[in-house]
Order: sequence, then structure tokens, then C-alpha cells
Amino acid sequence: MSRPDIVRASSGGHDRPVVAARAVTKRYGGITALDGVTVELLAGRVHAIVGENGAGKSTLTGILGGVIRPDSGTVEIDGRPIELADPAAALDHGIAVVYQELSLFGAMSVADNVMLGIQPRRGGLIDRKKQRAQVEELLRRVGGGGIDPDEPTENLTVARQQLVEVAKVLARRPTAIIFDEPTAVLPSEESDTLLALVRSLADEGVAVGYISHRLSELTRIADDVTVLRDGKLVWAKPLADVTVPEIVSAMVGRAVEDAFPERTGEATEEPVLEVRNLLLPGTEPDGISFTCRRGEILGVAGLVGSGRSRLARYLFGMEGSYRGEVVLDGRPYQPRSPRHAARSGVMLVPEDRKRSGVILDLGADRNIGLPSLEALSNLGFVDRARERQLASEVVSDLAVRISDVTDPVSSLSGGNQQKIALGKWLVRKPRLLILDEPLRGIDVNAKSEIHRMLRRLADEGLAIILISSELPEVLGLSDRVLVMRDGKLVATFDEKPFSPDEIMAVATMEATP
Amino acid sequence: MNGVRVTLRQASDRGVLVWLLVALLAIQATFMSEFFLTGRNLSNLAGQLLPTGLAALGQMAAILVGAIDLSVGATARLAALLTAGLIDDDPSRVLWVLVVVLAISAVIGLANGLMVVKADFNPLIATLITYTVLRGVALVYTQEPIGGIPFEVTEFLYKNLLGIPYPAWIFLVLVVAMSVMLDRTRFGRNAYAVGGDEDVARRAGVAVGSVRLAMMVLCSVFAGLAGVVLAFRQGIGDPRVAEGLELTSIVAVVIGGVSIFGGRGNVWGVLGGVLFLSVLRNAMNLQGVDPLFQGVVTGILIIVAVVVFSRRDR
Repeated sequence: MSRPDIVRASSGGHDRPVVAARAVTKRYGGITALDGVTVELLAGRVHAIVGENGAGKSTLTGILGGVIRPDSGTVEIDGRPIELADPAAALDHGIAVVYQELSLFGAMSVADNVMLGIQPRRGGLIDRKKQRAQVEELLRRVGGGGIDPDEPTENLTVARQQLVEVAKVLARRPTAIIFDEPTAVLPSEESDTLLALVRSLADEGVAVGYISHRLSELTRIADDVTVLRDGKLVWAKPLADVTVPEIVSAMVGRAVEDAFPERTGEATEEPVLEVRNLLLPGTEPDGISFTCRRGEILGVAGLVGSGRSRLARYLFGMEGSYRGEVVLDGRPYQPRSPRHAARSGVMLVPEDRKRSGVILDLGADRNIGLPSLEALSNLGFVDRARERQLASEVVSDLAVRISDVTDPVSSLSGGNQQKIALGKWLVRKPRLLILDEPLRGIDVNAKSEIHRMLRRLADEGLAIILISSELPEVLGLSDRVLVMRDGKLVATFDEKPFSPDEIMAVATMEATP
Repeated sequence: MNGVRVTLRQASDRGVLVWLLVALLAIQATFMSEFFLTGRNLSNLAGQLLPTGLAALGQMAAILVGAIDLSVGATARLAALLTAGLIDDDPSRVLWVLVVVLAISAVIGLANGLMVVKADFNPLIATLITYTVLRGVALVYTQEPIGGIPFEVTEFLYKNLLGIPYPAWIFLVLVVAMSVMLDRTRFGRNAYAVGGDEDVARRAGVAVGSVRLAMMVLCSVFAGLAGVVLAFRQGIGDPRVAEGLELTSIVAVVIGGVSIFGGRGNVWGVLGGVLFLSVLRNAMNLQGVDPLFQGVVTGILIIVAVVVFSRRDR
């Protein structure tokens, strides 16, 4: 697949940054999202900011956009430290952000969205004629000349909405623009248009920050690259001085340690789950095919949005029916609902623990009892004593640190909450356990405890699918690794040791080099 | 079937469907009662419509920014009692009492708004508190009919200009003003944004808190005005006036195609919703439907309408 070169009119730029974040730090509870990071955006240059999920890119964007306030460190504009109280303040200082998720009002027209809050006025009323003309001009500039300014934005395709989003930002005449993964939702031709636009904005003298996972994109438009990892700055260099493999290893960083528990159970060929040509909507014609065997941990690597979580939700009956064939324990499996999936022995510990893994306000006993209420009830009345008994067993089995099983889950640490989310399913003796980002927001010690627990479960014969954005975890814990990208299964690695650089390259590039 | 549903929703979205219902209702009433199209009945209809319409315009302002107001009826009642009680049949007091009552209404709106914007109360809770407090204040002020309105003021509301009753003129002017404010000013556009998605609005640089506060004050002022009109029409301060106005106003707004979650809808739909409720009540009166049974009919129609008109998506 050959794509047109993007012409760079200038790569010069000036030395003084238009916008800079200096030594910014942001903590959420015990987790440090950003740790003393400095990034400078120079006029006329595209500055790419890359890193794995959770590296701190979005937090950095939020700080520069006035959405998030740093705990320490400053934002400087033209060399002067500025307090950005809210996004309005950032906009006033010429910093605009094109956010990852679209921020348009569907029922409003394109023109009303683009000019929200900055409409041209005459005698106190919005001057519609002038507004229309201005919007048409902006749309032409972003390559969306065919878009009708009076159309409600919800009638536009996602790609066109993205262009409207960019027009909205340009309408505010920013001196610095930060793009947060703008091409994530775009098909490749539209991506090309957008990339060319980003480049031309820089050539007009705007300071551009560009966040993306797609390394092939960055190499086409960026002048400088900053790599973040675990909230820290790894390095910032001109693009000309680095190679793609260097960027990849900087993103992955940590060598995969051998601190992961060894497999002691024997490897079997007995399949628990066989997926044949499963089609996630929007990814036709390439179906997903893989097998998960008894006693193995099957890792699924890939970036956020690559379809990993969607695959998990399908297998757990949360997304309705799918096309393709799935066989569970030799019988066809088409889950209608999570309830049905759980009865069949497939259970999911979901990505967003606080919203769908546990009910924070309820006690540990009630959380653990919830999937097993039928077994715990007599004539429809829950036997509270048996529920507490069951909870006590789970709590001691998984070494959950809790003083009383009736304590609300919200009082526990992230790691212990996750053990509850896991434990409530283990009670039901699953055949296949799917874990989506099980270790997000969990401290290091709890992590290795959970690692050992998962290994033990697999050794006892459970089949485990492990989805994680933390590459070392996937590689260290898994017996085999699948890599997903854009809703497709793009690679399977069957043999240890896995190469993190190779897997990251497959996950981030459009085509394997 | 699905296609029908989509079309229905689009129509209700733009407030078109409600106008169709109003037309059907009016035709039915014209055929069933010879009085429906008489000047006297239409004048009466307009007079009944005005307080409901004012409350609905206010409610729309509040709902549009995602802050439904349950204190509308209580505010209107207190305003009505104060109006009648303070004027007390003295024509020279009409103007200053009007100013005072509307100022008090604005303060009530400010209290609602500050609770929601500054103290981060849920709007339902905040306005329910206000509702309870105001009901109490009204009871302390009077439990008997109070004061009086000079006859010429009451009479004015029954007069016509160019064949159209004054209350209809007043309402039409306010509807147009509201429409211009919402469609043609930055403030109005910002209000839609705040109700549509607070975070997105904030990121676009909209002062979310101020917009919400202003709309909640506007809502209470409209409610106060509704109370003033009720007092003017009845000629006395009735301690039971404006009962249930909060629900009526919400229903008119929702039937008019405004999203109960904010951010969507227009004034013309709300005008249709108000007409629908008023014509329905008028038609039932003319056709001799038992007043006790009217409540049941209205209730059922409201349930049906709300199911059809309220949107759940998004």
C-alpha cells in the first residue's frame, strides 16, 4: 500500500516555544499519571508525542488544554508561566485541542458547532450570513468543502465530523494545536487528508502537538518526537535523529523480567474455546480465528481501540449476536447475554472495574454473592449466612486484605477490589475466564499476587484469555500471544520468548515491515 | 414499522407532531361543540393558556440546560398571593408590586441556580427543596383568599386587539423573544451546548455555570409572571392557585419535543405543547366531560404522549 508523500514546506521554526509544559506532575490517588514531564511545542513544527496506553499522553494533553490542573509544574506560553483555570483560559491564550472523542453537538448545525461561543454578531444577534461565509471558508481549508454548514452534524459521517472538529478548532485562531489521536476514527484516505492538513498548519507557523499510536503516520509529518513511558519522559529528539525501532523500544522500555510465575501445569492440546472466522462489525472480510486451550493463558496484545475489548464483550454476550463460528467445549456457542455466557462457563472480568466489575457501595460479601444468588437462595430468599461464608472463603483464598467481609468494596485498594471482581466469578467454576486490563490502576505488589493467582488457576486447568495494554505483563504471563489491530487478528506468537519490539511493531504499524 | 417509528421521532423532535395533534383536537372540538369557535371561548382559551404557557417557557429554559425545575408551581403561587395581597385593590400599586414580585421570583431562581451550580445539588433535589419551602411560606402568608385586583386590570386580560385576545398577544411576543434569544444569540447557542454536553461545552470555552444559573433565574421569573397573570385573571389571591403547574409545564415542554435531558428542542414545539394541553382542557369542558374524569383522561393522554415524545437515545 503506497501512500502519497506529504510535502513539507518548512521544517525550520523558531527556538522559543509557543507553549511548554515544564516539569508537570499529576497524581490520581496512588497512581502517578505524569511525573515531572517537560514538553515544548515550537512554532512551525509538528511535535509527535508517543507512548503506550497509560504513558501519560492524555493527561499531558488535558493539562495543556486547561482541562486538568497539574499538581506541580507550570504551563508556559511565550515563555511566561500561565495558570490555566479552564479550557476557556487555554483558548484565550491560543491553545486549542482536537480531542480523541468527537466533541460536537449532533442536533446542532455544522456552522453552529464550529462557531460556538465565537459567532460573528450584529446588533447583539448572530449574523448568520457572515457566520455561514466564515464556516464555508474554514471547511474549505480543512478539505471539507463539500460539507453543508446548515446540516446537523449527526447526519455526517465520522470522517466528516472529524473535519468539522478541526474547523471548529481553527475558528478559534490558535497559535498552538494539539491533536489527540485524530486519525483513530478515520479510514486511510481521510487520514491522509488530515495528515496533510496538520502539516500545512505547521507550515503556516502554528505549533502542533500530535499524539498518535500509528508510528508510520508520525514519520510522515513530525519534526520532533517525545516518548513518554509510565508517566515519565524517556527522551525528546528531532525525528531525523531517530529510527522507528528506536522509538518502539523507547515506548516499551522495561526489559521483560523473569519475575513472572512459571507454568507448572502440563501443556494440553485440549481446546476449550475455538473461534473460527468471527467477524466484528466493520472489519469484514477478515475474520478472527484462534483457539484457547485448557490450562493456558492466552495473551491478547494491541492498542486501545484495536478490538480487543470488543472481542471480549462479544464472547461474554454483551454485544448481541456475531457472525462466525465459536465452539465451546465441542458445542456451538452463541451467547445471548452475560447471564447465558456465565451459565455456559464463560466469564469476564471487565475493563472498567469501577463501573462494571464490582459495585463499589456494596459489601464484599454482596459483590461475591451476586453471580451466585440462585445457589445461595432458598425459595427466593438469600441465605445471608451462607453468602458471608462463601465470601469469607473467597477472601481467604485470594488473600484479600479486608477487615470484615461486609465492608464496602469502595474501602479497599484497587488490587483488592480486583480480587473481589475475580473471586465472584471463580465461585461459579468457569471454563474460560476473560480478563480485560485486570491490572490497570493496581500497585506493584498486588500485581504480582494477581499474576501468581492467574497462573495457579491456569495450572488447575482453567483457560484464560488475558487482555492487557501493558506489554511486559502480556508477554511475561502468557503462554501464547495474539496481536490485534483495527478489529483484526494480525499476528499470533506461539513460542516463548516473545519479542516486545516485534509485537509493538505489529500492533502499531499498518503493515508488518 | 421501524420506519414509522423513525419518522414519528423525527416529527416529534422538531415539534411537528404536536401541532398535528392540536389541529386534530381543534377540528374534533369544532364539530362536537358549536361554542368552540366563538370569540368568547377563544378569548377564554387564550386567558387559560397564558399562565400555563409562561410557566412552560420558563420550564423549557431550565430543561434546556439540564436543570428541570420542580418549584415552578410553588413560585407561581407565592407570586400570585403576593400580587393580590400587596396590590389590595389599589390601582396605583400595580406597577411597583409587579416589579417587586418579579424581583422576588428572580431571587428564588438565583437560590435554585446557586444550589445547583455552586453547591452541586441535583436540580431535582434543589428545586424540590425550594418547592417545599415556598409552599410553607405561602401557607404562613395566608390560608384564606387574600387581597384583590382592580377590575380594570382583570378586564384587560379579556379584551381583544385586532380580534385577538391580549393574553394571546403577550404570549406570542414572549415566544418570539425567546425564540430569537435561543436561536440568534451566543447565549442561546451556549445554552443548547450546556444542556447537550457539559464537558464538551466547557472545552469549547463556554462558561457553563453562568449559563445554567441565568436560565434557572429566567425560569423562575417566568413562573413568577405566570403567578401574576393568574392573580390578575382571578382578581384575588387564591391559596390553592397554580396547583400542579410544575407537572403541566414539564409535560408541555416534553410533548413539544424538548429533550428531558437538555440540549434539544425549540420554542415552537413548546408553543404546540401548551396549545395541546389548553385546547384539550377547553374541549373537555365544552363537551361536558366530568371534571373528575378529566384528570384521568389528561393523565392517560400525558402518559401516552410522554412515551411517544420523550427521547431516550443519546
